[in-house]
Amino acid sequence: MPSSVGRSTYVSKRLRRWLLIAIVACPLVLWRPVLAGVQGFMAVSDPIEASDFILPLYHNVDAISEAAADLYARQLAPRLLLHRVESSRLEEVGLVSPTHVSWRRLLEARGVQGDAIETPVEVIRDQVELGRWLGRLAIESGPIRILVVTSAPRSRLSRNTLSEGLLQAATDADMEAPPVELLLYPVAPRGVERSAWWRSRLGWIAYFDAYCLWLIQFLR
Amino acid sequence: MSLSGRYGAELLVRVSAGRWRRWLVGGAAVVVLVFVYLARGSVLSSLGALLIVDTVGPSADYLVPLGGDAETRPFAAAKLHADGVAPSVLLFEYELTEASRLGVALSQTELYRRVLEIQGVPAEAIRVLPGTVRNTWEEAQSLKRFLSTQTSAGVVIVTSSPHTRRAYWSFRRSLQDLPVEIWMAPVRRPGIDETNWWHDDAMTLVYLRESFKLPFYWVRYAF
Repeated sequence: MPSSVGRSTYVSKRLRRWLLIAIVACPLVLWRPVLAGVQGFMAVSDPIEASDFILPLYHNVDAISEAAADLYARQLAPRLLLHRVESSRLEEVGLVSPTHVSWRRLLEARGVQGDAIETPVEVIRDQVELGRWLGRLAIESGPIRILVVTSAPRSRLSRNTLSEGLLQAATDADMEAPPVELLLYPVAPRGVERSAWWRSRLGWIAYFDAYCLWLIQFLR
Repeated sequence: MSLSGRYGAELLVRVSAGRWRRWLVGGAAVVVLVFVYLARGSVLSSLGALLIVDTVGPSADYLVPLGGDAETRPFAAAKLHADGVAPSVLLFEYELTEASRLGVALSQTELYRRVLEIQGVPAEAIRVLPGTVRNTWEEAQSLKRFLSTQTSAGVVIVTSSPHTRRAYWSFRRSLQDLPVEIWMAPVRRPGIDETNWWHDDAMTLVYLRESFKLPFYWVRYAF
């Protein structure tokens, strides 16, 4: 008759075997909800409401410019905010226009009125700085609500970085939080099906990048 | 139930040996982790260097800047052309974005061509290969179609440094039946290379992506 130690070793071995089987079987059976969960974690969204500004982030030119123009056409906000970024080498040799100018042309080509597009003069290097700028704008001009049009895989990162910038602006002004409400509007990148991102190469790359960046930011 | 007799003693020895083995394995893992952490600079540099193939040297017939980074690759190709590495530059045709379809941006092919011309490459030295391509493998196939009519050729592939290993494998695999010599010209961004890539988020992403794409290419296109 086996001792209690022998019996517990036997039970633990059995348990381990079943656990291993479960770990292998789970993804085989539940791959679709698991992959949907991978997308769901990164793609954060808020209910859309009438806002003061639409802020397109420069992630995916085709899809985001189209979505921003669509929100404008639906009169969800009267103005669009673009931001200047550091100039590129192609810009320096005169082959491409500054990013905000290209975006303005693209939005106008999609039906947005030129005088509805605003571009502040500051050069903004990253999204934290953009959040900080938005925070300062709200502190100076009063509470604002902004519809942020972002790529779905990058929406969680966008929320984190913009919120960090907003908090920095609030700290600078000795406030607890800046009077800014961000409403995230995630858009699937062109060529990526939102409910089945794994069917395209671009989808894999987009979510791989998003998770890597999220991990890098977390580790840093 | 108390342990007694020969069976109990054997069991006790086995349990204690198993515990020691677990401690040893755990200890070794901790030592390895501590070593990797302390030597992380060298480890990450070596991993980065594994992705890079740098063989540019003898003069060739064609320079082939690959698509995907108009900020660096066509500039590097123009510099190699000026240095006399090859007399001609081959470009690929890429899918149009909506911005270029709407006429508010240049297509990638046109952008490459203009960079080359601005940097001093004569228009007659630039040739665009027919057929739209979407990735490195399709670029290699397009070059194969072009070179299949030639008796022999030497090509210099110009691409970002972490992309060189995958590009070299793709072109070597695609052109293996042709009398073609392939050299790689890695393009490095100023201030960021294989010795410090992990300090920059965007570059870290590029190196990580390449580390996964390379084995994917081996599996996807090996047969």
